[in-house]
Amino acid sequence: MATLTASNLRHEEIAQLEQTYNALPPGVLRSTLEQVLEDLRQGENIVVLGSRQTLTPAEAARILGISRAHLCKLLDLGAVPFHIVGARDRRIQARDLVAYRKQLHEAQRATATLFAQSDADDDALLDELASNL
Amino acid sequence: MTLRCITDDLTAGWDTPRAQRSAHALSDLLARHARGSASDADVGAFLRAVPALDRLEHPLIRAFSERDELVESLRAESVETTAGPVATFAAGGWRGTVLLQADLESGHDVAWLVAAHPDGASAGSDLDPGEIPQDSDELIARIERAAERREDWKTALDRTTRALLAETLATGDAGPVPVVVPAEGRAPLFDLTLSLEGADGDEPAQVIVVIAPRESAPEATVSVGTRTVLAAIAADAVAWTAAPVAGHAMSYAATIPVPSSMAPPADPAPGRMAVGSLAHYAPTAGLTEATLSGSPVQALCGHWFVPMHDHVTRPTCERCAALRDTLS
Repeated sequence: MATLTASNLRHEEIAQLEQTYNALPPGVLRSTLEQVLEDLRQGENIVVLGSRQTLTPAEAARILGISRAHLCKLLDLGAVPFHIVGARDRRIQARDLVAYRKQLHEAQRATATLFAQSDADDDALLDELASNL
Repeated sequence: MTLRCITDDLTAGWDTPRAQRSAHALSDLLARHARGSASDADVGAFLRAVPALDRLEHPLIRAFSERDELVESLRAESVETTAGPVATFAAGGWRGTVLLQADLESGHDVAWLVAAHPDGASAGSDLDPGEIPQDSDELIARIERAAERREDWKTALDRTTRALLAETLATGDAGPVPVVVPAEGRAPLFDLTLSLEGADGDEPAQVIVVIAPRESAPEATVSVGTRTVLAAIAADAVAWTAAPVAGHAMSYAATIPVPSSMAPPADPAPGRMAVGSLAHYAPTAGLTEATLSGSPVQALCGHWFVPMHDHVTRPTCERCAALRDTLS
């Protein structure tokens, strides 16, 4: 699993990558590299996955930024598809993981909102309760 | 007490002018509610932000609210009027008129402070029709009762969760428990399951909470319930990592025991989740917009949060700081 850790890259390396990007003709490779550069500048780590590659639960947890215990629970609950190799080792398809990562970020965004707007939710609950009194 | 009595009769004698002003503002809001341009939630938000009417700083209101035996003694000396039994009492140079109304739901009398005047001035024994409680007074009472019921529900859910947590720490899991809103004939809101996922190598044990909303459960109610459950286990937003399960169910993981820096306040109110106890670093693109609009952003450490203005007063997230140092 090839991983580019943004914090381990030097500025010169990113600059060289940018030169390569500038030399490319318009197309998928150029736009992909543009995304890579953008993410690296934002401090985002890049993981390169072949779509047919499979990952261990530990690798998947690291990519998702959640604990291994939490990921294993999610596998138990059927939230992320997996298959078994050998006796009982679970493996996750890279494309399933990428699809789940999108849902994960949506859920975490919603949770941040839930924690931040507690008074508004408390008030909205009054509508529900007051109509029953 | 009736709002009219506060705004029209109690024209002087206030400890601070603030209380009187908020009563007038409430009057305006209720007028908008009557026209349909303000909701119960708007009135609830206002009532949450100001002291309850029976806590307003006026000597007559204090005497009326703080002495339970007053209503009993007034009942004994009340005079029957067309509106119901009425009695008067004096406090702090003021004389108040109290109307006792039978409340069919609870079976108890409700005592209304319906009129007031400086003690010594003459007043008729019967009530002016304008002085009996109005729709707006009933509305305030209804919303205050709903708020009380909401807080009772949060307290009960807080206790249930703490009991489930104790069971989980002892046996490994607890639930599913159906959680119900305290309103007549309501279907369960969501199913609550807790489990303890064992320590794994360098990782400490985690409590995982799964909240599975039932079909057509109101979103805001599920949100309040979710927050109350999570706050009972770890009352700091940074302790929690959310992940979606099937349908609309969510799982939330927190490390147990919760690090002492995230310990809940000494007197935690049920359902209170601390946010922003740590200042995070986030990419600057879109940060200003997010701060203004209240939309969440992802920090360098991976935690999602709603940016706030007063982050400079908070300790910095160590993981974010380390990542930031290596970036610059």
